[in-house]
Amino acid sequence: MVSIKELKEGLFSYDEPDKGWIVDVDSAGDMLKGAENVKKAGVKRFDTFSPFPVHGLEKVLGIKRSWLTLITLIAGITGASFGLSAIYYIDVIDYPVIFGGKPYFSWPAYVPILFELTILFAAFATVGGVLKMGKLGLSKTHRRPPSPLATCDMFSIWIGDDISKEEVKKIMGNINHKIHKLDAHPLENGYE
Amino acid sequence: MSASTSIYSLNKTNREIERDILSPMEKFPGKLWWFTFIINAGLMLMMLGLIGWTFVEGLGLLGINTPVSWGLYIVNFVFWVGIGHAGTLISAILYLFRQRWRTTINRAAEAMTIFAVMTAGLFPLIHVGRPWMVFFIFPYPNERGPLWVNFRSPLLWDVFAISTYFSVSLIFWYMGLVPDLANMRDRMKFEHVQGKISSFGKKLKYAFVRILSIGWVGSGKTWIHYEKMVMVLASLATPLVLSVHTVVSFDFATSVIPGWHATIFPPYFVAGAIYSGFAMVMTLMIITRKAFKLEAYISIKHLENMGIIILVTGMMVSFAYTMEFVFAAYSANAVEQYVFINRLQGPYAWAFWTMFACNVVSPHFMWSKKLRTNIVVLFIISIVVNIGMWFERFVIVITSLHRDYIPSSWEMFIPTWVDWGVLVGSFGFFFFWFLLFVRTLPSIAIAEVKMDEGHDQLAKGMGH
Repeated sequence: MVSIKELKEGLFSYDEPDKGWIVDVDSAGDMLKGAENVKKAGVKRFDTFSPFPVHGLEKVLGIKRSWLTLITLIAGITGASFGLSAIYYIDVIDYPVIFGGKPYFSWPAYVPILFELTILFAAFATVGGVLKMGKLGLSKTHRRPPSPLATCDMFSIWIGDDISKEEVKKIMGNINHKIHKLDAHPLENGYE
Repeated sequence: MSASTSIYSLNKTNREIERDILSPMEKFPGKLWWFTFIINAGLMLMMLGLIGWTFVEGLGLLGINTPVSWGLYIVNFVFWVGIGHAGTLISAILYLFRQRWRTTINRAAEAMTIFAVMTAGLFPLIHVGRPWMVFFIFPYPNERGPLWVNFRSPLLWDVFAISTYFSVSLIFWYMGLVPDLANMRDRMKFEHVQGKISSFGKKLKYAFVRILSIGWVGSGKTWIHYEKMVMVLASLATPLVLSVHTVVSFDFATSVIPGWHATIFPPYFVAGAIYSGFAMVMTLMIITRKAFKLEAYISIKHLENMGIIILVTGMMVSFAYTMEFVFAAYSANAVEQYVFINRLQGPYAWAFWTMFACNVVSPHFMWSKKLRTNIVVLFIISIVVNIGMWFERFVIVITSLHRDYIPSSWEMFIPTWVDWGVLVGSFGFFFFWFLLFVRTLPSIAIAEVKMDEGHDQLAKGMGH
């Protein structure tokens, strides 16, 4: 059995960078190593930014697993029970009609509809969960990317604790990196 | 590093991948695009005009009559829903089976699903006779009694199945697009910074990708949830896609029409759907890779794999055809037996034999490695299979209906030019959307390709 605490931890949210440092590194491998160092140094608020999901991110970010599936499960059960109770109300209470000599409540015939409703609710809730926990949505379209080219080909680590540039440098060790203040990234020299 | 990794590796940097995929969209469309777009838009308008005419005049404009009350509209409906299935197979089922080659064809195939289901969805709506009352199919509290829909009817199951399939495919596809849209946004932003963007069109495009990318910044924490979401949606879409054509086949199988009332229908329809869908994916991919110079991404190896799937599903479909005859022979039911003899020799025998030649014979060319790596052969086979699969639905719907139990009620079904016009126009409608898609959205999943490349490089220890 999983504990409530583990479930809660598994429903973690995106931590919107508001201060601190953006450390640009050269590659996905360096990003993983860097984030590992950051975690070991005891930094509380940090995140990585990359163009694709790098295997091993959970480990370096200190996350056991995403419990998004819990949302899927609850929504799926909700979809099925909503469908079943709605059909029960309609076919048995509100307007009972005999079709083909079958009972008013002939549940095998409802299976396809209940199945579709399960999938429909589960899929939309799963996507909704990602939007909520990733803090994505139509109100976020003006968000300034902390690492301006992380969606293209840049790998960065955000460090949000109050530590000095020298300490960041020490944490990164021998990994090739560039440190920028958050929101002061040299965008102009960016691309191609 | 697994063996499959080396076959599909591109050895390209992230920036090269992005340039290859995005740059065809950043140029003004060429003559070829405009030519096909205008033709297809014209066909679409013709279809909308014909549909409008049937709204005014009524369904008497079509070839349907008393025994054959389901005409070409239902044939087209089943055909287009089937086309859609390959997209979900690629995006969901092949994802769960960790088939890496699907990565580059996934996005376009899924777009194809959405447009095919949109096209399919038109047909029941325009077939109902009084389309302005089509909202009656939704069970909502109403002032007509309340008069509810019949939850035991396969036709209502179909309403639920198709609308769920469409909406789930749409969000799956859109969520897959979000990282790529953010990529487009940031790429354009740097053009902004460097003062290259001035035109109104580019500003509009920037606003479009900025809004659609809903604030995606590539955070590691969000990626973890996102990866889980892709897995969950793939696991939900897999049974969903199987259920959709199963429910479509129930429309036929649960009625007591000879030739329809068979338990083999659900798997038979699902196999046929994947068969025709892969043929359509192949047609589209061969054109897209050529037009946008994406041969490195959609390689001959991808097309060969699709050819093998066409071979396998083609044989499943052939098996189902054979079994139908065995069932009829074994049933000792004279009416059932007559329907199948009528398919072979009756007035619609030409449709049956067209179907047979296209669907049963043509996939066997895929046994030969030489043929299934020849693009011209693949293209021809893909078109032939699509024609064959359309005729399969024609045979199922029309031959079963036109001669059932009582010979006095037999009647021929002759499609009118309105029937044919709507069929041709539906292709225009489908390609209209597909052509818009390849010009406005990345037709290859950039983030996924980068991920595969990135992990290859991590595995090789380069890390760059």
